Amino acid sequence: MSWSALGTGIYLACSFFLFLLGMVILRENFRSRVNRTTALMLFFGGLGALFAAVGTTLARTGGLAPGSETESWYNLFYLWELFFPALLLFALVFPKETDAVRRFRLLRYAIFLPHLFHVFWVSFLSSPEKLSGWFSVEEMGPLARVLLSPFSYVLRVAALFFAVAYKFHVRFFSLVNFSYAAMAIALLFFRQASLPNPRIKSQVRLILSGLGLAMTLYTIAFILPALFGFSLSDPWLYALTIGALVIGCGAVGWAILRYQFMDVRVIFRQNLVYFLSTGLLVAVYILAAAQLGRYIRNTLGAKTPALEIGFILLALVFFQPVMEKLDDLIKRLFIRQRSDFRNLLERFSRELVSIFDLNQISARVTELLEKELFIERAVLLLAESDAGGTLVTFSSGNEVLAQSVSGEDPLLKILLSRKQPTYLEAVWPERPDEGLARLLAGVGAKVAVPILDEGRFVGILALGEKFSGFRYSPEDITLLGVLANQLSIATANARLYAETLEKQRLEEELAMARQIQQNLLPARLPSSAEYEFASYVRPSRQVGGDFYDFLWRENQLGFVLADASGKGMPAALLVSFLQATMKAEHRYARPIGEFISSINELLVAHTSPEKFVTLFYALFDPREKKLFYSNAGHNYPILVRQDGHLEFLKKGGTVVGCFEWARYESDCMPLLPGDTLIVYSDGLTDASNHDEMFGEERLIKLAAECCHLDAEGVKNRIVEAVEAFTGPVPPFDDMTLLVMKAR
Amino acid sequence: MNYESKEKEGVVIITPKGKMMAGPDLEKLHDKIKELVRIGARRMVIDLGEVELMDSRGLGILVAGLTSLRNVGGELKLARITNKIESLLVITHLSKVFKTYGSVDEALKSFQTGS
Repeated sequence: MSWSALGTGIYLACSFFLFLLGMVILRENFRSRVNRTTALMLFFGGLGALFAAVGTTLARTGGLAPGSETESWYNLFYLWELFFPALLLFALVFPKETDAVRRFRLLRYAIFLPHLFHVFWVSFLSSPEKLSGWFSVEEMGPLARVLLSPFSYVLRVAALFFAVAYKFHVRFFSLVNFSYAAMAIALLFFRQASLPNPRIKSQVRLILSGLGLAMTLYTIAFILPALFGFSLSDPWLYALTIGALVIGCGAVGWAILRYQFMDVRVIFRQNLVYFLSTGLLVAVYILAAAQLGRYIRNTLGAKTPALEIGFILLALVFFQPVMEKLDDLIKRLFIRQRSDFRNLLERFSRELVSIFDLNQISARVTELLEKELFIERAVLLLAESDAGGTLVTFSSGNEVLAQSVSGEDPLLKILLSRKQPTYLEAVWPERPDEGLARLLAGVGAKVAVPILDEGRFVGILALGEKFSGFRYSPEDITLLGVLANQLSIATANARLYAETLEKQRLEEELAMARQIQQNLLPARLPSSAEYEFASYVRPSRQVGGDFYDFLWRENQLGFVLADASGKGMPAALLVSFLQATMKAEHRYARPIGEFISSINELLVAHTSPEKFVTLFYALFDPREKKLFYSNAGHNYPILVRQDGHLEFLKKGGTVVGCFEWARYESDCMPLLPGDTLIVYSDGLTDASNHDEMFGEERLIKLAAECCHLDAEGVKNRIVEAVEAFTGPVPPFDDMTLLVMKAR
Repeated sequence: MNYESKEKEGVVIITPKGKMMAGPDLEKLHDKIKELVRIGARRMVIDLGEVELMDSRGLGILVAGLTSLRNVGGELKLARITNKIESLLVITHLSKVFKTYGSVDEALKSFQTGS
């Protein structure tokens, strides 16, 4: 077998491959400009290969004698050179349209002009003689001669130019082709540097190296010989041309298909089956139509033009749905192979389970999606409150796009009812400038994936256009659906984790609050030759509603023990307010009753009615050995006389903080050396061991027994008794005890 | 703790049961009383006969109920107070503030006679 026969075979195979590739890419999304441009380029490439095959066959059979009839047909060969402007256009629109193309719409047609002119030129002006005839004034008709004779000089120059141009057109267009290819490569090279997406970048690099290599081979095979007037031997020529074709177009095709995140083999098999079955269908149709036509002609005996139109209409009506069904069927057959898809899912789940921060999840997911599905922008919108309520707030990644969306939002309702990735253009509401629609439009979303956790609305994954302009494939949609499930789990985890952290933080705050409260208690208990104190505090929950404090008035010692209603933080806050108020009010040396009344008024004015404080306030005059006191609804303090006799300090009024009208009485008791005053909060007597409370009786009995002890001793006796009574049961209420001993 | 509430002769009768102590259940009772006052209840009897224990928060709810009713010209009365609650009311001097009755019927009657 000769070299040329082998070459012809390979040319044909290349041509078939390129046409197929072009069709695949065109069929992938006909509406995309990138796809159309790429397909156009591949078609012209395929045309080049096909013509090369035809050319070699003609040359072998000797049908290419100069001046023969075939020569003018052979000149159509130059049609394939349109590949170069197509290549340049491809470089201008891939992977995204450049500003130049977007702004000057005509540019994309203009770059084809030189080559179109060339094709026209070689097809219609097959010899220089014909040309000079056209421009020679002498050979024109009489009228033209008169009209054009002033321009005969110009015409002669033009004729000369065209003659020269014709002589050198092969060389000249070799240069043009070379510069187009060089421009395309340079464009791609400079544009890839600024591409943000690393995977697309590598795809463009693949195209670049493929094209670069192909152009080098082509330059060696054709352009250099054309410019310098030598020719290569056939085997070399074939090897170089075929190498250039296969490498260049292969690189482009491969890059384009990979760029789609789809299995190339699947696409090829799918398309091959599609074309073969389509071909079969068309053949069957033509045969059937021909048979039917013959039959009708035989019976009617006449050729009817209506028949032809009828067949065309039939074909239009018949083919469209059949082809769609066929397409669907083939897609379903081949969709099962999706290793990329599985890998991607695995990566998603592996990464998502290890992230507990919502912002990080959002950042990672959007990054992965942008990178792997080649999406221009992916945004994870998280719902802050339940959709059952009226307000849904969204936030996204680092930038906060917080916006309220009503639970009645029409778009939100649609998405929640569909529960699957949804093309927004299909469900766009009538007023897209409101609510969720506005928010989604703001982030450039084309597809929205609702994320639900057991029916609860968690958020929306908003996806922009694919970088390529392709529609989302069925695999993409399935992937997004599965991803939404994983995201709902991941966000639930993250929320739980955040709640745990928040709880920890609250506990830390409580501990801090407790510290503050501890610091508000007197650091040192006052003591003198005339008196001593002992105290015990045990809050039930970190911070308590009990407190005691000492307030001096000249040489008289005032002290207070108070118990705010309730427990924990609200009670502690109330107590802090009370403590500050008392300190401030205590400076005015008013009678005790008035002092408590003013405290009451302040508390009534600043707290709600169900919040109140019971307090016992006393003022001890060491010189007079007298105790002035007022009891505002507090448990009666026990005054244990030296001889063990007990008295209860009841005088006063109702609780503080409830009634504006409340008035407080006061009393004066002698307090002699050896007397003990026991003031306590009800937490002490209410301390329980599950079955019963410690109770006042026990405390009173205990108090009577320990009249001989010092303050510390009395306190210890009582605390020990209470602890022995309750055992391990934690205190239900704050417990405070203040013991004063006069001496 | 839980409670029952019913209406008789234009008087709302609330019967808390168990421990009237700080907690979510008590807050529900508080909310219920506030809601009743808001929708127009003016005469209320709290039947404390089935309350085992009461703490300061429980007392606070009674005080708040009394205050809010008196602010709108209404009245809250207590019925069937136990010894423990009585001593609590005495200590806090609230026994002078609340009107207390031995039975719910007595409390209802007092509303009619205006005493």
